[in-house]
Amino acid sequence: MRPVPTSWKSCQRWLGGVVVAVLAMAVARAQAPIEEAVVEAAYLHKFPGFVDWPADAFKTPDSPIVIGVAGAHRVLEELTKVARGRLVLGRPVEARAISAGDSPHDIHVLFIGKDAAAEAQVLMEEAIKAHVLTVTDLPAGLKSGAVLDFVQVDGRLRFEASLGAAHRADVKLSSKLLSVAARVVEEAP
Amino acid sequence: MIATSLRKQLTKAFMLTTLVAFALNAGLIVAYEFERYREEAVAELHTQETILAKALVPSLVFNDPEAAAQQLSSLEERRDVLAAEVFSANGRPFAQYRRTPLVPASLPAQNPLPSLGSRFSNDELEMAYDVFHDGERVGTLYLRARHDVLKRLGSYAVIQALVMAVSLGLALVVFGRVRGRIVEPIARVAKVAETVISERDWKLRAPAAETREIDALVQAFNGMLAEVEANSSELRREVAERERAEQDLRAGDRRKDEFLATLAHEIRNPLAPMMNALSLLRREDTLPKVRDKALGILDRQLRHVIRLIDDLLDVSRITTGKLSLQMSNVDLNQVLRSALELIEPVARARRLELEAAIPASPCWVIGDSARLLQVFSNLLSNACRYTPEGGRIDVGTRSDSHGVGVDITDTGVGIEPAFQERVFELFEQGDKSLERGNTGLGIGLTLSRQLVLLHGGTIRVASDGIGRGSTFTVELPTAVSAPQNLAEVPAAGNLQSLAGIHILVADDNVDFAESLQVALESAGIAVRTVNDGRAALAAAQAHEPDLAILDIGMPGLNGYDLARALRADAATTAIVLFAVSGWGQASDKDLASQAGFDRHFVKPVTPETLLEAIAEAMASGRRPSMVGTRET
Repeated sequence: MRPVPTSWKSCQRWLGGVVVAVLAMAVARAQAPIEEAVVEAAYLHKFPGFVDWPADAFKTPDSPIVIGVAGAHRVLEELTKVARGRLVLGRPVEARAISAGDSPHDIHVLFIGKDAAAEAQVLMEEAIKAHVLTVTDLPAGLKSGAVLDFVQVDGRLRFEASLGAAHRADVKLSSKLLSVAARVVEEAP
Repeated sequence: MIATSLRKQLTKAFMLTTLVAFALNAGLIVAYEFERYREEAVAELHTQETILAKALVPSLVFNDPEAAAQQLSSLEERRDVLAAEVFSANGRPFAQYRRTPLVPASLPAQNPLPSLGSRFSNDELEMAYDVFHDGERVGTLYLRARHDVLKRLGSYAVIQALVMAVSLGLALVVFGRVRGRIVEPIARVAKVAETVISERDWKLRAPAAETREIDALVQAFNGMLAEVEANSSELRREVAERERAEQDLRAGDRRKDEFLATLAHEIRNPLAPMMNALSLLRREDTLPKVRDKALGILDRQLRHVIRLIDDLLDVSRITTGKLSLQMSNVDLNQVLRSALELIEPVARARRLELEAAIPASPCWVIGDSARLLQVFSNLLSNACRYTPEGGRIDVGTRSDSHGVGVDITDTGVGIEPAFQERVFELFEQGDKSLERGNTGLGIGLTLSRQLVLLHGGTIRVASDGIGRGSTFTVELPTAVSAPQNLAEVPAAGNLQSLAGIHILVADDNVDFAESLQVALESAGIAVRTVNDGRAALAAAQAHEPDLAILDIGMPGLNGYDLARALRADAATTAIVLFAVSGWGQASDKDLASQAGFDRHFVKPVTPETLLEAIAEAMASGRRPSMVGTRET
C-alpha cells in the first residue's frame, strides 16, 4: 500500500477546515482510492521481478528492463518516477512510450492502456512475436492475447493471468505471481 | 571422646564435596541447556519466519491480503505459533493469524518491539521480521509462539536431581564400603589401644585390615604390642628369677651362717677336753695313769677336729669336681670290718651293742677302699652319735646278681619323714635340740652320699619317725669278677722300720715341728728340727740329711726358695724334699713342684701318713714322682 500523498493530506486539511470532525474522520476512514495509474505503474514495476525471460532477452547482465507504455501517459509518468533509482532483479527499469509502428523488439514489457485500445491488436501481435510480456488494462485484455490484464475486484486493482499467452510469449510467470492473481486461465476463452 | 570421630568427619567431607560437585555440575548443565534451548527455539521460529516471509512477498507486493492470510493459515500446522501478523511497509496491518480467538489482536501495536529481532519471555517468544523484495522492504512479519524451554528445563532439572540422588546413593554405598575398609580397622586399633591402656593386657591384637597401608599400620601396632608383651613378660620372668635366686641366696646364706655357728661349736667342743688334758699333763704330780688318759683324750679330740676339716675339704673337692677316686677291686667285707674296728671303741665307750653279720668270704666291688671306709665309718659314727646309751647298732649285708647292699640299723633318735630326704644335703641337720651334746656338722652324710654316687651306688635312709631308730642303706654294684691280686686296705701301724734315716724338719710352728720330731723319732728316725728357712739351709748343708720336711711359709727364707737353694747345691741336691703347707690349691702344688719338692702335703697331716711316704721314698731308693695322697 502506498502512503497517502502529502498533497492529498494538505487538501484534506484545507477542505476540512470548517467541516465537522466526524465528517473529516469519515472521509479519512473511507480511504479514498489512490489514482489507478499510480497503482498500475507500481505493479508494472514489480511484474519483472516475478517473470523469467529467455536467456537472450538481455544483452548484458546489467542491461535494463525496458517497459513500453502505450496509451497511458499517466502510467508512464508514474512508472518513470517509481523506476528512478530502483533495481529489479539487479537491473534498472526503463520506461518508454510506445505507439503503433514502434518496434517492440527491444522492450521486455508492453503495457497497453485504455487510451491505446484501438491500436491494441497491432501492438499485441508485434509484441507476441518479440517475446514481450504483455500487460493490458482493457475490458477483454486476455482475450486480445495479453499475458496479464488489470481488473478491478471489489474496488481494488488486481490482475488476471493467461498461461497460454505466457507460453506463446516465451516468458515464465512465477508461481508466486500466480498465487496473487485474481484469476489464472490456461487459455483465453 | 571429645574430638569428632574419624567416621563422622570423613562422611561429612565426602557428602559436602560430592554435593557441591553435583550441584555445580547440574547448575552448569542446566544453564547451558537453557541457553541451547532458547537458541534452538529462536532459530526454529526464525526459520519458519524466513520461509513464511518469502511466501508473503507477492501478497505484499501486489497488495493481496487474502493471499497473505492464506499463507499465514499454513501456521496451523505449527501448534506452538499463537499468532502471526503481517504489516505493510508503512506499518498498517495487512493480514493476521490467530490460533485461538482469545489471543489479542495487533500485538505489536500495543507492545511494539523496540527493534527488529526477538523477545524471549518465560513462555513466549516474539519475533519481527522485515520482508524484502528486490532490496526494498515490502512489509513486516510478526510471529508470536509459545515455547516450552522452561518446561523442558524443569524436566531436565528433575532428571538431574534424580540422577544426582541415585548417584549420591551409589556413592554413599561405595563410600560406606571404602570407609569400612579404612575407618573400621583404625577404629578397632584405637579400641584395642584403649583396652590395652586401661587393662594392661598386652596380649590383645588388632585384627588385620584389607587396605594395604592400613594393614601395615595395624601390623606395626601389633608388632609393638608383641614387643611390649615380650619385654614385660621377660621382665616379669627375670624379676621372678631374681627373686628366686635371692631367696636361694638368702637360704644359702642362712645355712652358711648356721653352719659357721655349728662349725665354731664343733671346733670349740674338743678344745675343752684338750685344755683339761693339757692342764693335767702340765701338773708334775699327775699320776702316769691319769697322764695316759689325758694323752688319750688329746689324741681323740685332735683326730676328731682333723676329721672334721678333712670332711669339709672332701665335700669341697667333690662339689668342685676335683676329687678323683683310686679305683681298684676292693673287698667290701674287709672295708666293713675295718670300719667296725675303728668305731668299736666309740661304741663301747657309749655302751652300745654293736652287732655285725659280715660273711667271711670276700665281696668284690670296684672302688676306692679308703673312700668306702670313709663312707661306712661315717655312717657308723653317725649311728653311734644319734643312739642313746644302751642302744643297739646292727650291720648287715646282702648281695644279689646286681650289687651288694649294706644296712646299718640303729635304735636311735630316728628321723621324721619330712626330713629324711634332706639329711643328705650339705649343712642340714636334724632337730637342733637333739643335737645338744651330740656333735655333728651335717657334713658326714653329704660326703657319704657323694662318695657313694661317685662309686655308682645309692644311699638312702628309712625311719619310722622320731625315737623309732633309723636304717641307712648303701647299695653298690658288684665287680664282674674277682681280682687277680688283692689290694691291701691300709692299716695303721703297719710300717717298715725306718731306723737310721736322717730327716730335717723345718717349720716356724714350733709345736708342729716338735710334735713331728717326737712322732718320727718313735719310728727310730734321727730328726733335726729348725724353725726358719736360713737355719734349715744351714742344717741341710751341714748334716746332709736323707730327707727334709719343709714348711712353705717360713721367716728368713721361704720353702720354695729353700728348695731351690738345696737343689742348686750339689751337696744337697739329692735330698728328698717334702713340702708341708696350709696351702692346698693346685697352683701351690705346681709351685712346689717347680721349686724342686718331691711331694706336697697339706696340713693337717698325720705322722702316719708322713711315715708311709718316707718309707716309700726310702724303699724306692730314689726320689719318688710327684704323687701323693693329699695333693689338690
